[in-house]
Amino acid sequence: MLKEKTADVVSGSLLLIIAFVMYASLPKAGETVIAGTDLSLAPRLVALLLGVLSAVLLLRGLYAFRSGRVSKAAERIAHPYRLVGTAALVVAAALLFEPLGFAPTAALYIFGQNFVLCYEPGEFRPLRAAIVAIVAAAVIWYLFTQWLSMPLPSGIL
Amino acid sequence: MFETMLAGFYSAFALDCLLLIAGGVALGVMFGSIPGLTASMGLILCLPLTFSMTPLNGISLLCGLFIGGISGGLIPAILMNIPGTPGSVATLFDGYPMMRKGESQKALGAAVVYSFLGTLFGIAVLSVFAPMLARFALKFTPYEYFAVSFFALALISSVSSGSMLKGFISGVLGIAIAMVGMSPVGGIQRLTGGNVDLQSGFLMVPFLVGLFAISELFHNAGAGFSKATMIQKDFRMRGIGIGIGDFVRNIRTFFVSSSVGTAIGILPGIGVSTASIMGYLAAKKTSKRQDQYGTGVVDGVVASESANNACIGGALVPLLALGIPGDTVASILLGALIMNNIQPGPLLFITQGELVYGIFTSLVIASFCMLVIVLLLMRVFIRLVQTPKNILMPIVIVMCLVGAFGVNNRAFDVWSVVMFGGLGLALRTFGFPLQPAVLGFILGPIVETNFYRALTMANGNYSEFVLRPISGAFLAAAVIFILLPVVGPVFARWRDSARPGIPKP
Repeated sequence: MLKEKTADVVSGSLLLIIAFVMYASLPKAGETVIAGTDLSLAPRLVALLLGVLSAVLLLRGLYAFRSGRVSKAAERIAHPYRLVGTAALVVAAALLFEPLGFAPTAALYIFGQNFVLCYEPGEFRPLRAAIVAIVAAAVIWYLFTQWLSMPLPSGIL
Repeated sequence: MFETMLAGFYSAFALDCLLLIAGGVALGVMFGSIPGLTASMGLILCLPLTFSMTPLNGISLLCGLFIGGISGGLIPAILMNIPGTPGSVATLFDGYPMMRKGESQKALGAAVVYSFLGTLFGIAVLSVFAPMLARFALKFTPYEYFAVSFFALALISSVSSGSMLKGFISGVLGIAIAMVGMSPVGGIQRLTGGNVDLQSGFLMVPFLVGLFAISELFHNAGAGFSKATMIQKDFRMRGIGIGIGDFVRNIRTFFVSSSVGTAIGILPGIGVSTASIMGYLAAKKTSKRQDQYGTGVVDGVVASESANNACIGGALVPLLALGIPGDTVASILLGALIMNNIQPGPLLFITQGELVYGIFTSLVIASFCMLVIVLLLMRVFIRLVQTPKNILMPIVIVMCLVGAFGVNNRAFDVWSVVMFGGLGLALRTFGFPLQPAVLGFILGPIVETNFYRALTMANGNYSEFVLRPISGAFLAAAVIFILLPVVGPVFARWRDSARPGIPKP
């Protein structure tokens, strides 16, 4: 289980890297001066501030490790496989949204997500899940395209 | 004058106008309650319908949509931790914790009642003070805009629960994300890495939907549903959900946040989401129970919903009195007026008095319609939320993805939702609060834009920011609020050690 001090060290390090990358990718001071105003000043300040705050967080975590301070547990992920499955399904849905089309992607996603989220394997009812998936996808498609005149990717259909 | 008011009043009570208002409110509530769809989308879709209507009927339909759209967002915010509209983002700070404590009926009841009262507050201010307030708002230059929004940004520590350091980091991260894309002044590409899609930056709807809805899905999947949480069964709606005691206790909160919401609405270019957050912050800062905000207190829901609805009346002040649209919705309303050969401005109250008072009356009718429709719909939504989560959540997520796609019809926004969902989960897992990130994302661009504008006006002279009275006062207050959490404990420790008889820890 992730302890708070571990979480601080990990997140502080990651954020420090992000702040460094952000600062490095911005134009240098004086490169974007228009009418006497440096237009990259604000993002540079934000990157610096993020760097300083992340460094403080990192140091706080390291100090807690060195002093042996007991820290409370960070949020627990009890079902990592279910989380990975959900993330994979959401990414797949975003990936297939345009090439496969909205309706088939939505139906497949709802069916798959229903399966992944079921709390006990025996509880999953494939027929009910399939009906819910197809009906929900069709209703949402109809609502958005026909009623609200919002074009959705038709894909293979 | 009195005859004109009476004529406007009567024209709004015509049957066709009443039906259009009710229909507009119902449609608006639907738009507001579907995550990803916003009030402005509803207005844009219905704008062509108004071309064949009389000016009052057309504007009444759009006003109904506006009020319904803003209010509808409270339902998913409280029941699902998903802001239905950007304006309801502060509602979930306390609304969703209340739902988890089994107080959903109280949260929903308070939100609807104070949404209604907030709308009426804004309309009252609009009807009485419109021309005067519009002239005052025009005195706000980029210096004042910068100072006011910077002051709101300085309150980041107020919206965060837990570690203040993590709250600040979350807020700065929100500002950094908002900076991706073209700079608001000068059009310089920043943090895009050459990606064409990133040039226009991240939109608010995918950011909010991803950060809250998708991360909630990830969180639930990771935490695992138990039989106890699979179906929420503790929903019972009695009356309107809120008791007299809670109603009376929150009247002060209502006045504070409604005043802030209306004031933000009057200032062009700031918007309803900022009004909601600033109303929430103002109520929290002036409350005796400020340490309980964010844990699920009804005061937080009242503050947010009063402010975002009071903003509606405020947003119409510069539109009707000066012809200046303050936000997207006001721009659409301006379009509808101009299509009917009506030019809003100072003369509108004299030349089209009947129409102006007709609009005021329509707004009042729309708020009553909103109260009835949302109270009725609440029961439907409460039944919907009783659907097992493994069935309900995938459908909600699909609607979120479609809503994000519908903003600009591009797959990039769908990817943004997924990415921000991952970010939201990472922030939650590492113990960072999400609320400051939202505050940073919304206020960051306003602060930056006005900072550059003011600096250009002052030829790079920073002293102008502090020499102007309104700007200087807000900046001083911002500095106090930033330093207070750091200096406060040090001062308290020094005071305790200096006092004789109190043992040192």
